[in-house]
Amino acid sequence: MPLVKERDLGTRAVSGSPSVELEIDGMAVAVPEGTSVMRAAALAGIGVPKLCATDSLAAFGSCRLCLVEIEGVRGTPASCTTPVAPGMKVSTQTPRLERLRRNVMELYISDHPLDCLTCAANGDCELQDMAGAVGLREVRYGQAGQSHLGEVKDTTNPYFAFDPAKCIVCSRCVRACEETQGTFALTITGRGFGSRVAPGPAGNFFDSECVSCGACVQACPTDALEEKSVIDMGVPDRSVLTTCAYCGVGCSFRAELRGDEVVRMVPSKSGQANEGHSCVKGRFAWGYATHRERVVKPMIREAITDPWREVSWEEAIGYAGSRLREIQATYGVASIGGITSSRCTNEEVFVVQKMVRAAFGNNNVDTCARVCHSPTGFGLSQTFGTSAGTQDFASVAEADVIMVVGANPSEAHPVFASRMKRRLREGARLVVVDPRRIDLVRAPHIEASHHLQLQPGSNVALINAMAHVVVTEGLVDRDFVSERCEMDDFAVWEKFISTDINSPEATEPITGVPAGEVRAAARLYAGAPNAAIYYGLGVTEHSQGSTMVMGLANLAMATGNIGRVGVGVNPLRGQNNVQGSCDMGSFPHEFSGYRHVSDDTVRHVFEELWGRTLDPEPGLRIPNMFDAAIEGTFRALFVQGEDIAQSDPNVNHVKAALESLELCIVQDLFLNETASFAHVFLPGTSFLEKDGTFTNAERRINRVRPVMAPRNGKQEWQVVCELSSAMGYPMQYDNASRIMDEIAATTPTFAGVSFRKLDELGSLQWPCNEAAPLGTPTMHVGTFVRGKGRFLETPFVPTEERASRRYPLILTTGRILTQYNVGAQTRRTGNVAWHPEDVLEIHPHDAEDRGISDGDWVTVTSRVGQTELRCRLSPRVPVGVVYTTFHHPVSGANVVTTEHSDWATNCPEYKVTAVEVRALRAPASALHRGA
Amino acid sequence: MPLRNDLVQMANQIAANFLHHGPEVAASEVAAHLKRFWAPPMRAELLANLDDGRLDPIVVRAGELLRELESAGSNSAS
Repeated sequence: MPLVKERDLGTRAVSGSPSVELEIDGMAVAVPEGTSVMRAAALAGIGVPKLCATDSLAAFGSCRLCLVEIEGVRGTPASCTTPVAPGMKVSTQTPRLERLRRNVMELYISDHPLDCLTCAANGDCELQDMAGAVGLREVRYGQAGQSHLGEVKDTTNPYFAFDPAKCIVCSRCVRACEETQGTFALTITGRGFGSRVAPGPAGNFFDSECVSCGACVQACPTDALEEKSVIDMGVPDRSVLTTCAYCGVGCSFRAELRGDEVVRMVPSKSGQANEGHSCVKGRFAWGYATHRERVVKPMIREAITDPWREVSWEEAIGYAGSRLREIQATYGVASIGGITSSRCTNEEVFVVQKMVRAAFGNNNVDTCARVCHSPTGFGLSQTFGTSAGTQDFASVAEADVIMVVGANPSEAHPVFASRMKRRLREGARLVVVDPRRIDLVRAPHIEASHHLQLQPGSNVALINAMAHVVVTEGLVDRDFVSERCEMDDFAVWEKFISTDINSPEATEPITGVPAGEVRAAARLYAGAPNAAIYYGLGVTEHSQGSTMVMGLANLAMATGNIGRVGVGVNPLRGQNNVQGSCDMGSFPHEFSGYRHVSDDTVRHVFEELWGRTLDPEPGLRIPNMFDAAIEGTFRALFVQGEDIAQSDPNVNHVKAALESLELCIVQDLFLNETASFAHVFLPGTSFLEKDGTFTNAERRINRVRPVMAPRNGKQEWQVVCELSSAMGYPMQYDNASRIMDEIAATTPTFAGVSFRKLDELGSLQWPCNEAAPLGTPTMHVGTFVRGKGRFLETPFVPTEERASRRYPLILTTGRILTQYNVGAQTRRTGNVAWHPEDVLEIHPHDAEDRGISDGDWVTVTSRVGQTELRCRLSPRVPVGVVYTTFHHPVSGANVVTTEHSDWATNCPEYKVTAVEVRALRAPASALHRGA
Repeated sequence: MPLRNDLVQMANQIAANFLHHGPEVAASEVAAHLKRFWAPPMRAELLANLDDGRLDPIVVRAGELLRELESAGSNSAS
């Protein structure tokens, strides 16, 4: 499609207010009360010249270009800061206004380079547009006097440049950094003529607190802040609306191109998940899609010690299909299986699980969500009746108390974090439950009321203590509970949670959190008109991950914080399509829509449509597959877009399992760590080539549209269909929308979803069916999915992974803003400038005890393995706890993590590993790669 | 074939998380959980090794209940 420029109405929308009628340039206009004159005019199709105004930011009124005349009002007020009034008569074009605007523009241009023809923003510059709009024909002042034209360009950021010579000091970038992103990295220094945009005291963008979200670049009306890709390639000439493939926020972007080359990714204002905002990954880190290391030809090899051999698609698929059948003939139907990927589309995932169930003939299908949010599925299903977050992202704007548990949204879900921070700046109170002092605890204009800095592994004890306070201090919402919940279960839970063993005082020795803090936090949460819980992998990746999810659900139900806007229990999903991959029937015990394979009625729906008898028994989970592989009963694995040899715990065990397979098929973009153990490599497609849908953490199904042709020549779902067909079970679809049609036909919560409807409405939140044709932003309104909410007892059972004299520290792992998951994508972008290696955070006291200094290389040893990392002394972690990320394979963070897992789901306990840290005595340069 | 360590650990961990129900209800819950979430070869291996000695008594009792469920031929785990 041609380049789409989203309309800018100048100031923010106002909703829900009574309508005001006025007259602009003789036209009758009706807009909500509180709307600016500028926006009212724009809505009526009347453009008022502007420079400092943009509809993503609060009106500022500094550029003096949007002046209007209002009957009965003295002077020429700025239309951006003037609200409409009943009966107001506005003139936007008069000789006086024209003269004033030309004079203002003349002043701007007198200190602006006259290089439009060679400027990167030529044709995409609001200053240029406004010069034309006001009819500027001459600049009387010349450029001989004092100016900013000689100022030095800042090119330190990998993705954009700042040219102060082209800056008109409209403050849009500064305001975007504050209002949109919430980082407050930019400021205006100096006064009057000396005013200039500055990235804080650092002096340049790279060394500043800038998080490279791109909001400033997006807001800049000139070429002062410009993408380097635009400078290099020119202004794009067409765009495609699609969805980011990084985290579970699922931001909508316009991919802007020249020919088939992406020039830039611009966050879309129409995107309901992100509303025009972005982060450094989605906005800038898309270059991996065309990275030289992409493998685009199928390859096979007999043994993993052999070199790869490029082959045709026919040969690769034929070989894979026949080997799978041979292995089944030798070892049995259940000897093979597949893993779906949360990075792939719903349609791609659906066909893989269909291939496993119908072509492989077993239920040995699992997904990488096993290692992140499988406890969410278990816990929320048990309590609420379905496996999904309860709210849309916009709901946070109505929350009065926000409790963030085991999540670090500023790093892992940055665009949602910006929404959350905005609400916190408006006055919502914050409780952070995390062993580590994450950014949210104290950020610009934000300070958590309570940071419950608990010991890793003590989540359940803490949430029980909070619930104990709620119950014993009379803070239960009895009306809600009696109307909405199973009372017998509540009575059992109430008795359990009231026992002294769950009191904050009794649990303090376990959690390490002072009882008074727990009591205060519980009172704050329970006493709020609207209290919302947002949680992440710090909840799920524990031996009691599922129990903790149930504990959060219990707390929300007990306080009546479910079933309306502003409240809820919300898992922040890690990867772009974790929700979708789970929805699509990727778990070995469930069909799409979370229906157990033993349910005869459900199974018959699929059997009838797919023409195969399906296994009514659950299959193997990922860790079960590894154990069975080592045992010798599981012999072949299909891995879709997941690097299990880096991301899964105890990777030495994983590698041993992979090494023991007779056949490993990897479908991916790159030869990742897992591909080292593969016999067949089927090249995959990047998100820029995919055609399908992703479902984000708020259950929002977004279209992923192909921006360019698949570099490998095929959509991934086509490859899977061909493999299934090669195994004797033909699968064929005309296009991806047909797969969604099959999903809708078999899955009640998706019954109303189609590509056509998604294209019409932009996105849909499931359930979307006859009862909710436009989707469901808030779940459990009036009644829970399971009918009545179910309280469940959540006794604290300590993890078997304990610190000891030999392993006295607890290692916990997490994410960093600029890198994503195993780093396969982000390590192949400019983002490595910020995070070239994983580092170990250690408290200064623990470091001093071990003779470790900041920047030293250290060994990290657990009961299962040892790795080496550079360390950073940081008071963010408490004494006794160390922290690292796993974005770089060379760091081997998962060499040391163990196979302890959640009791209900086998989600690995990444967050608790007992380790010892020792300084490496030899000079680091003698020991390490390029160090 | 001796019972795999991972199965022992998983089964005992499940039992520990149902212990609060009391032994008989806990065993019943564990049996239902195994039926619902464990693949048949894993269940078979457990049932063949209930006398392993490393299993929590609740798991042993759950195994007996599970064996009854299996022999009754019920597929329903929902």
